[in-house]
Order: sequence, then structure tokens, then C-alpha cells
Amino acid sequence: MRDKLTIGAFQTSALLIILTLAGITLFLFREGLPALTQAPFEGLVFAVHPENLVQNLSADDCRGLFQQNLEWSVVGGPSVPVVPIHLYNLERYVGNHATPAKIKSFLDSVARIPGVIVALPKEWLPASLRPIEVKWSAWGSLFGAVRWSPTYEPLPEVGIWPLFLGSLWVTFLGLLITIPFGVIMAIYTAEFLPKSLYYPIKVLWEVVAGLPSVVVGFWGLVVLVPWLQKFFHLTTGETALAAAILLGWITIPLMASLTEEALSNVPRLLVEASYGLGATPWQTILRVKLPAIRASLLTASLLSAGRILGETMIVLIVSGNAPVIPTSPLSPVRTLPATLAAELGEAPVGSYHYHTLFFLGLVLFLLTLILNILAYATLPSEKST
Amino acid sequence: MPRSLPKRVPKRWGEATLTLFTAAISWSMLVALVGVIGFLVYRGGKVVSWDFITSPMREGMQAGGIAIPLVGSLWVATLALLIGALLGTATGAYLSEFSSKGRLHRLIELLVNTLAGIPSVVYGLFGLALFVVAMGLGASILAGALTLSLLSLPILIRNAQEAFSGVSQELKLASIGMGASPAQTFWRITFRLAFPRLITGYVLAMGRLLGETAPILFTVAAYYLPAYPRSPLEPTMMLPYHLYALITSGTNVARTYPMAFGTALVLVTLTLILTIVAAVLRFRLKKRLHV
Repeated sequence: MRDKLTIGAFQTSALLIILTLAGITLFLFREGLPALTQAPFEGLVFAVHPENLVQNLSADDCRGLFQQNLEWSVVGGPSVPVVPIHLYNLERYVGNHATPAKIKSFLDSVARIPGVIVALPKEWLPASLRPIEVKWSAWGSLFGAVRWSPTYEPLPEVGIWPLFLGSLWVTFLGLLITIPFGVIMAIYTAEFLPKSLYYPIKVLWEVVAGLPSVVVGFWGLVVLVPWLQKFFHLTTGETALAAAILLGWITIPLMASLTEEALSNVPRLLVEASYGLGATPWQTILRVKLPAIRASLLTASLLSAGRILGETMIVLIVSGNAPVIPTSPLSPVRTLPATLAAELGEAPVGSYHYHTLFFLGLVLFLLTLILNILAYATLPSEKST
Repeated sequence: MPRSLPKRVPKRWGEATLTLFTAAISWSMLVALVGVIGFLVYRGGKVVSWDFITSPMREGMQAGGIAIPLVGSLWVATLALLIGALLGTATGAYLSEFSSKGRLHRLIELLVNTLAGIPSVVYGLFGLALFVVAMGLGASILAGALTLSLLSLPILIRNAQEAFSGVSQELKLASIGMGASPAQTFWRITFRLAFPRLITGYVLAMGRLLGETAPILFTVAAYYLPAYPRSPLEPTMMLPYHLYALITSGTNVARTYPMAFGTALVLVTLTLILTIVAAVLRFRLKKRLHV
């Protein structure tokens, strides 16, 4: 009886792990996929002057009109100046000073402006304005655009490329630091380190890997960022490089310990054969051991990449957070996780912005998942030897 | 780590230079760490005092101490550790002692590895969607603790697995041989002998949990809430987010930065102590078990 109870409890707990991952996947899809099916202006209607002949507009053209950098004549309308009027949160005003009757007469006067374009809640559309159709392409907005300004109402710009490429760029730069330093430290630790220093260096690695990222980011902001600014004569030191240096640094321990483990598992036969042929220690390391652990190196690099890709606070603090496609290590960047951390607190639950952020989370989740699967798929079975 | 071959001293100049170079690179890690922590001690040391740690903040966030976020952090991390330790140890016990090492075992191990690779901010999203919104807990200590407990599961599971499988097989078999049931063997032998190493894992996890920022952003942490939490269903301030708030609020940098340095120093000291204690304990125990 007690046996069954104990084992049953443990088994249930193990099954919870499956549930957790299933839950994470489910909720990310559930909250993220509406970004592909919904339009940001649900419940709103766009309307123009009755004599305006435009039937429908693309979301980009409509945004252009609202931002007044597009003329009516370009989209087939009359040659009158554009008068955009934002009334998408009209409801907020009802009740205070504005009675419904007052709003009605206001809307009627709006309808007399020839070049007007109005965004307002459906139920407030007066007969004097003519509704037009605005085509929102979810895929086009997410993947076809290069600008990210998700709070611009009523037509946000949610191109994920700057964030996606920003993440990849920081990860790439970070790996340029992590991989060489990690491998060198692993070689030193596995091959040359006095035995008495083995545990101390492992503790050192754990400490560096365990530093709270917000503290590392803060240090970067007050020390590293000003250095970079002075050294490269920049207007601001908050760059992809600053983020990459710090991220690379805190990921070195992961790379180093995985590589060190692989190095000390190289089959003895190979090493003895190499020494037997008269090779020196370094010849053995470079020509025998490193080639022998190629696969493990790839695994370690992929896992490190996953770690860097997902780091949030450091990037948020030191990378400048400009959602532009990065062109050099010295350009400011914004990554997927940093965007989530910066914006999710402000996005109302269930709004288009909220779903878009979950979509970014989903992209990030799938990216790290792929990296992990690749890492374990390339992991050789040398562990058993 | 067993070393199969005797150390060879490099003979040629080039080789010696290479070795020296790798040594320099390796120990530069220590230099960098000392640099970072030394800087925090230098700037934060002037601010941190007993008073700073034990008094609540005043004048917005510009004066006073960090008692409230400190208490909030300890609440959340402790609750998260309780939940995580329970589930993690049980799962570790299952994987190490009771599973039939078949397909299910491999699946769960794969999932644990996968969970370990998921970015912490994604846990935050999940916590927001499930605990805060779907379960209606709101931004609260409980929601944050549940989120963090999931985050800590991979570390705790692996640690428990190592702890249980580190107990000598002979003892377990001897117990079975004397007629003890698997559960009796587990509770009386395996669990008791693994206990010190389990504790080590909990300490390490606690260190990690205290420093996590991204998962608590949307699930528990309040930007400014100058009151001690009274129930697990309330939001609270927490150290990492408080530090972030101090860095970025930026209304009066001359006054908030010293507070930020103090907070950073306290936070880093806490995690440092926990990490080092755990690491030293672990390596001590490893040595003892291997000999």
C-alpha cells in the first residue's frame, strides 16, 4: 500500500512535467495565434465623406492617410487635403460633458469635411459618413513590414523583422565571445589546470553563470557602456556590442563546462596513440582531441546560442532598445525577449498588442526549441564510452 | 573528474606560450568577476548598512531602505522553492529510482532538457496567461511563485536524480535483500543518504530564483508598492525588479543611483553566498562519495 502511494505520487509528479511543457506550448499558441487571425481594429469602422469614391484601402495606405504622408489622389480619391480624425476611443468621452446628442451633431459636422477620414466604434457610425473597408493582412503586417510601433492606434505597425534580426545579431555576436573563450577555458581546465584548482574554477564558473542578469546589466550600463562610447566615439554606448559582450561573458561557463566534459571523455586510446607517435601535448589537443569532440562542440555552441537568445534583462538595459534592423555591432538593437519584457506590462490583456507579444513569445519559444532539438540531435553517444 | 593520463609538461617554447595564454584567458574570468563585484562593493558599500536593509523606502524610491522588496523577494523565492522542491525531488526520485527506464523515462528526460532551454521570459508569458489571467490569481505572490517553481524544476530534477543515483547501489540492494519494500528502501536508505545533496540543490536553486527578473515582471512584481505583503494573493515589490525600476525611472539619477548600487550589492551578495555555499558543499560531497 505504502509502496503504491509513494511510487504513484512520484509518477504523477513526473507526468506533471509533460503537462507543463504541453501547457506552455498550448498557452503560447492560444494567446499568440490570434495575432494571425485578428485585426487590431476590431469593433472599429473607418469612414469617409459620402462623395469620396474610395471603396477600400490597404492598412498601409490607411495609416499613411492618418499620418498625413499620403494624399487622397494617390489612392483614387478626390484632390482635397486629408483630414484624419481619431475617434477610436470615443466611448471614453461619453458621459462626462459629451451627451450622445452632442456627439451625434459633432459627427455630422465631421461628415461635412470633404477630405475627412475617421476611425470610430461601429455603433457610433452616423448615416452621414460612408464606411470604407480597410484590408488588414496579418501575415503581411507581421512578416512583410520592417517597422515596430505596436501602440500606434488604430493601425499599429508590427513588423517583427527588426526584433527577430536583432535577436539573431546579438546571439551571433555573443557567440563570437562565448565559443572561443569557452573552448580555451575548457582546454586549460581539462589539460593543464593543477588538480587542486579544479573545484575552485568550477565554483568560479557557477558564480559567473549565477549572477543575476539585472545586476550584470546595471554594471554594463554604468561601466561598459560609457567605455564603449568613449572608445568608439559614439553618441551612445548602448549598442548590440555592449549586450553581446555581457551576454557572451555570462554564457562562457556553460560552453566551457560542456566542452570540458567532452574533452575529459575523449577515448584514452586515441590520446595514447597520439603521444605514442611522439606528438606534443598541444599537437594532441589541436589535432586529436578537438577533432574528436567536434559533435560535442556543436552541441555546446547550440545550447549556448539558446541561452543567449533567451536572455532578457541585460539586453533590455544596455542595448539601446531601438527596433531597427541592425547594420553593425555598434548599432542599437532590440531583441524579442527585451520587447516582451518592455511592453507586455502595458498591453491590456486580450488586446491585439497582447496577442502580438505572445506571438513574439511563440517565435522565441520555437527558436529555442529548434536549437535544443538540434543540440540533442547532434549529441553523439560518446557519453557511454 | 578522473584523469586518465599523467600530466605532460610542454617542452617547446611555442607550447609553453600557448599554455600560458590559455591560463591567462581562463583566469581573466576571475579578474572580470572581481572587477564587477568590486565595483558594486565600491559604489554600493557606502550605501548599504543595517538600516538600509531593514527599513522601508521613503520619498518615492529615492531614500530609505530596501526592506520591502527584500521581504517580497524572500516570500516569492521561498514559496517557489517549496513547490519546486516537492515536484522536482519527486520527479527526480521517479526517474532515478522507480521508472522502468523505458520510453516514458526517455520522454520525460527529453522534456526536462527542453524545459531547461526555454528562456525565462517565456515562463513569464506562460505564468501570465495561465496563473494570472486564466486561473484568475492576478499579479500575486502565488502566481509568481508558481511561475518560478516551474522555472526551477529542471535544476531541481537533475539535482535530485544525481543525489539519488549517487547513493551506493550496494546499500539499496542490501536493503531490498533484507526484505524491505522499494518504498521502505527509498525512504529509509536512499532519501536519508541523499538528503545533504538534495539540500545543496535547493540552496543553489534559491540563489538562482532570487536573481530572476523576467518571469516576475508580469506575474508578481509591483513597480512601487510601499507595504509589506500580507497574503500570497497580493502583489509585492521584489529586489531584481526594484533594481530595474531604480535604473530606469531616471527622474533623479543623483539620488536613485546610489540606491540602485546598494540594491545591486545586496542582491549580488545574496546570490553569491547561496551559489558559493551550494557549490562548495556539492564538490565536498562529490569528493566524499567518490572516495
